[in-house]
Amino acid sequence: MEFRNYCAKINEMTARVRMAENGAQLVSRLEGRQSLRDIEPNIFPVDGGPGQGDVVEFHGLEGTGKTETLYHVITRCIMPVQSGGLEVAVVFVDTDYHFDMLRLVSVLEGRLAEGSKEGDGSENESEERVRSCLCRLSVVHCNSSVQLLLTLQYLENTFSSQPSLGLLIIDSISSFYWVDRFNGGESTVCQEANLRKCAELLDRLRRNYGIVIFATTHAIMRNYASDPGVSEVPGSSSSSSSSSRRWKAKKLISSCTWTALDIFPRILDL
Amino acid sequence: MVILREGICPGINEEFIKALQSEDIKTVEDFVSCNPEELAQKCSLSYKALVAVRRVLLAQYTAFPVSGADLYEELLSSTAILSTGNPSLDKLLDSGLYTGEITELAGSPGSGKTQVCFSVAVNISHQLKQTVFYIDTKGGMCANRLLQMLQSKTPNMEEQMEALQKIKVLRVFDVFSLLACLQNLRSNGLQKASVGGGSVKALMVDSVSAVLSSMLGGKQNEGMSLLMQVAGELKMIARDFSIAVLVTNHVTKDGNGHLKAGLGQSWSHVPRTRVLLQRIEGAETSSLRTATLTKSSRQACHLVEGFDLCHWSEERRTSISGKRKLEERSKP
Repeated sequence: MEFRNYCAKINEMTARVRMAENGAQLVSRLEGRQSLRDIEPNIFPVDGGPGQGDVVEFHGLEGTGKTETLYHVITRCIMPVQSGGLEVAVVFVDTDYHFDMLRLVSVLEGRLAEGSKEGDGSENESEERVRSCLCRLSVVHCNSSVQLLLTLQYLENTFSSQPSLGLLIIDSISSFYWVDRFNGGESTVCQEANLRKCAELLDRLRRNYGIVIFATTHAIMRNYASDPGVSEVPGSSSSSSSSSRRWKAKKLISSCTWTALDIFPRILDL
Repeated sequence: MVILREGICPGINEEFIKALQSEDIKTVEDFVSCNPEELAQKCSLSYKALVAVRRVLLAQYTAFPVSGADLYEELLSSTAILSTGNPSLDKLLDSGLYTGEITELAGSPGSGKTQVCFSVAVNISHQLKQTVFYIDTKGGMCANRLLQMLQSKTPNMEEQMEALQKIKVLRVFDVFSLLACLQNLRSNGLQKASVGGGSVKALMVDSVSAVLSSMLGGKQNEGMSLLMQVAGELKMIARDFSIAVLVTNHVTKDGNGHLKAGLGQSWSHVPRTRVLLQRIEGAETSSLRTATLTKSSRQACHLVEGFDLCHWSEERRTSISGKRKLEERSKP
């Protein structure tokens, strides 16, 4: 009788430990993810790319190439090593239904064709290669900041159980700004509440699991100090009048951002 | 914000909710953000119950990831390109309107946006035999004009009537009814229409700026929030039902005096492709127009093509090159 109670207690305790983390998950958490330091030589300096747990923000007006850059980054990650890729799994969170799979596949096909030196020729083979690359990519669509928060919570399990997942992309994290701002009423705390929770969660994810996070933000506030015109550089945020207009969600992301990139049309030459 | 209520998921009863409220947890997102172990200690609720409820709530409200390969298969089978019927416009749009995307036509009053919408609708319903939903916010929908266009394509009365039946017109005159209409379409309208015979392949909103621009401006946030909600609905409809969405917009001038599409920077991210329609200088009374591609993910921008509104299916012999357009613009 006593022995049975004792066994039941041990079972309960080990069951609780099992709920937390199993051995493989522990190892994957401690070992770390694959390094993404040479992910994009055109943007980051040699060996100066994002390390484990870095957050990179792409900010710019429309048409400056933020999503296009992400397609190139994704391609580099999901391609096999013999074609010049990193074989890292990627999760893409699409908040404004902007993700164009057909465009991504055309970029991927171009890169694979470059990578394979002998003319493979056969169409089936190239289709197979594209498909095997795409298996490393998962796409999630979110249509509200609440859903974004809950999805990130759900993805925490995915990150802990898949050590090959090294990159989380959120495009774009600013799409719920106006809706949240209206729903929050007068108080800025209420307006920012969901995005603040998302930022805290992302901070936890990058610290605990060492994943790299790329996020894009749209430039939605016009900087009246210097009108952008057609292709000029948007005014810097150093002027006092415009800095107060910079929206608060960007400040939240900046609090855990180590590198921020402003994409200008002239510099990007991919 | 999703408020925790009884019956929202099995395992949540009144005492559960009361215990959580004592810890100031009223919404699903607060509950999911908390650590269940700490919560179990503070609220005297069982840890297992908390974890189970958390799992069910996450399963209910989360969006699930889709593998890239599956998404690609789905898109390959469901994406279509709808020809507009006008060879010059097709050249600009890279063979036509793509389903799953929003295309925008911007132009000043009288530049022909509504006529282009009519021509495209007639082409889709008559040539391609697909159903078109036309949301009219300006009162510019004229069935006689549609009939006139059809009569120039075919003398057969039956064919004309069949094509007219495939164009479904919805009239809304303010942004709240537009939102209600779009939500209705998304929840059951589009499925009903496709069951009746003929799949819905296009949705046109003429014009989206007529209902939104009056809500924008000043310090109010409601207008921007409504704009983003309309954008979200249009995108969800385009993506989930594989429909080509065509919207029209007015134009304003930017700091350098050049024409640009209205509704501001937040809206400018929404359409995937944007075409600017203009009259030809010096020929204001003719039906000739120029179309400039100002935003595209597939072609180089600032391609210009000319076309004639009256002769929709004919190809224009001479097209105005980009260089000449710049010269015209720089004239005082």
